[in-house]
Amino acid sequence: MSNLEKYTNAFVTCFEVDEETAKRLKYQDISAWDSVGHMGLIAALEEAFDIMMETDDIIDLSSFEKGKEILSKYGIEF
Amino acid sequence: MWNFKSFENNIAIVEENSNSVTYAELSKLCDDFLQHIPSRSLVFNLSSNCLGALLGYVACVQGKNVTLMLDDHIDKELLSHFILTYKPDYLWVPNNKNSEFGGRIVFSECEYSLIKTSYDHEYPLYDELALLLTTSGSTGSPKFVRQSYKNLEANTRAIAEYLHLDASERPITTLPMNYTYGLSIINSHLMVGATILLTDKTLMQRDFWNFMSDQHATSLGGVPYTYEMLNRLMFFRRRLPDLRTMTQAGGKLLPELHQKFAEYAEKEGKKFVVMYGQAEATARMAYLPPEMSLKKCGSMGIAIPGGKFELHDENNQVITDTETVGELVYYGDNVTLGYALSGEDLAKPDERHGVLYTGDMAKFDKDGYFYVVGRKKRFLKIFGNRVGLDETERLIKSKYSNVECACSGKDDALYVFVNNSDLCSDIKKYLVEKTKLNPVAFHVQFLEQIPKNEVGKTMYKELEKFYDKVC
Amino acid sequence: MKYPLSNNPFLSCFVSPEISSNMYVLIKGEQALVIDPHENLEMQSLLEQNHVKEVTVFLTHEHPDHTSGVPFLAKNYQLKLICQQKCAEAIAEKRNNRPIMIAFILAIQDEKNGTHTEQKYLKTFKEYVCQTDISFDKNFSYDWQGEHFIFYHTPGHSQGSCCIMMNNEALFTGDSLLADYPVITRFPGGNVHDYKNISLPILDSLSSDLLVLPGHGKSEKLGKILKGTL
Repeated sequence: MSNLEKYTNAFVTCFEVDEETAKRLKYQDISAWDSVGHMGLIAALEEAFDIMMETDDIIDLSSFEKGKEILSKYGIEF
Repeated sequence: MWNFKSFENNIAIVEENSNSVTYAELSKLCDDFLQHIPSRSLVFNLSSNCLGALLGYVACVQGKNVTLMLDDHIDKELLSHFILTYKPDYLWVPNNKNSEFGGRIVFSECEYSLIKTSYDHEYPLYDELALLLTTSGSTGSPKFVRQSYKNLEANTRAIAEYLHLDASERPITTLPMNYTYGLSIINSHLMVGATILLTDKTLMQRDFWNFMSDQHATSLGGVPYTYEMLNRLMFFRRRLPDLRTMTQAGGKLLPELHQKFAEYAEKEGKKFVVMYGQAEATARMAYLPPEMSLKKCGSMGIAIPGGKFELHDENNQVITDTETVGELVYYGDNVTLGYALSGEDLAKPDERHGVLYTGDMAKFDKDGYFYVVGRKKRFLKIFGNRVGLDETERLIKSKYSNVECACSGKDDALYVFVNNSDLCSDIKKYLVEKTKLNPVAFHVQFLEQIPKNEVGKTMYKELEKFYDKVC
Repeated sequence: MKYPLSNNPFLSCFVSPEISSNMYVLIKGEQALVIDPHENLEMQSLLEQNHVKEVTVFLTHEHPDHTSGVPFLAKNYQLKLICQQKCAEAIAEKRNNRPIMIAFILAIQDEKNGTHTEQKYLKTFKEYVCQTDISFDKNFSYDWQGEHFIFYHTPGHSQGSCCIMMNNEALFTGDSLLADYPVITRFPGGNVHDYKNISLPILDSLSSDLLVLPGHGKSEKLGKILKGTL
């Protein structure tokens, strides 16, 4: 799986949305992405990419797009 | 003031080690004490909640000596300062401290010693002066409230009356005896022949609770911090069949807590009595009748028997409208004589003539119940202790002369802003050391520029937005 | 029973400021039992005033808002830590002890109020791992200073969650049962099926008079809470 596929998959699984919706998603856009859901997303991303994120990055990951920027800090290229 | 003869065989005091004295025995101990000290002497009492300290206090009142009450853990420098300022004739100190003082030990009892100092009636004492209690003593100023015999008796009777105290009461001490509220509990219960359970344990300690249940305590008093701790100590889930009354003073309790305790009292058939007072009014000025505790949540109640309140506006006119804020003014026989800042002041007569401008802003409702809205000047109540903000700034400046600081805050939270980030933790340690107050009360923060106006005066209101922020 | 806690265990409850987790402390002689520790000045004061030398810690589960006080206690006292196996495994790793949820909640509040509480909180946070002394799988029985405890593994809110019964009087439930809020099973490590099929039946089998002392919010009788849940 490519990085982009892994990344999108995390959103799809955690929030039970399709790929198209995932790509436009922002925090609190849907009820599944609340603070609890956010924890689940982070856990899924950390596991998928075998990284441990900084707390500031965890808090800043407020949308699908923003998340890609943040993950590039951890050497993940899309 | 008290009539011990009418309660001869009642037990007056019980201590934790089961040591107890009857009123007859206490009377005899006082007589013994008074053999060794001429009347109208000035005595410093380094007290803690123990029989020795209480004996010294009671004997001096009965024997018409003037007592200046202090905590036996008082900072040494501060104590020296007070001794130099007031030149007491005698010191009444715990035995384990008597080697720290010069002078001659003339009497010893209940592990306390009466030390004759080298001073001999250096300052004349006004005839009616009975007691000197600190108000912001913890911040280092030598300011004491001058209380008269009439003040003590009037307030003690009023308290015993509105609390309906009788000889069956067994209050457990939760506050220090050199503090006006703690002392008033002792005064009022001695007046009715009750049994005082004397301990210097705090309610954070197991032993306190064991003592309380072993001795079947019927009442306890507390400042707002006490009630916060009771809440954390799972108080509402404890079995306390003997407890009849809880009193609260020393600052305004958070409305949620007032409600919680009032509901508990109603459910359990106990009394929760919120009260209001100051050392300047001996102890109490107002109380909230327990049956109104829930209905008038947030109120400090009505004037005590023999007292009267008025609200004055900025022009000193009496306010007659409800729900209108003004300064709270109190009239009563318990209004104290005034302050003492120096030895000479001990000769001063009554400066207030029964009228006290409390310094609190308040209003009343349509039923005549009063509500305190805020404080007029720069004082806070920290865990029941009155702390002067300006005095705290002076205290810091006296050690850290190059630092710029500003103090502000609210009850139980004193914010100190300093313009030197390296000194923040040192300053906090210093304040804790000097004031002996709980470190949780102090928030020492770095602020680059203390906001000042064009004439260089600190703008305290501007500090509020910096509370707890990282700057 | 009107007073489900006898006065024998000197019990107190401290609530953490950020996320309102409950920490319970029992003191007997120079021993303290702390359930779900967080750092708290008043609790420290309580331990000092009672001259405590040894501390036993029970963890109801592995979430950081219930374990953050362990490093402080380990540093200053002789410590013994007891928790469920999965909890023990989780807290041994730094990554599981990050206060992500707390920081997140503070950040949300900061945005609303214009404050900087999250920054301030993270500045004081130090990474930690915990070493467990005794761990158990399904059930466990333990006596502490004459008080009798029974542990039950109750997964669902998290993998390592458990409920701890004291003297047939009280039940420390952590986040597995709360009086004020429904139980959250959506966190990573949570499992709604485990909660329904394993944990709820266990809770249901216990005496309804037990006083539930939960990880958040007020205490309440077990029967009353379950009536609302089932």
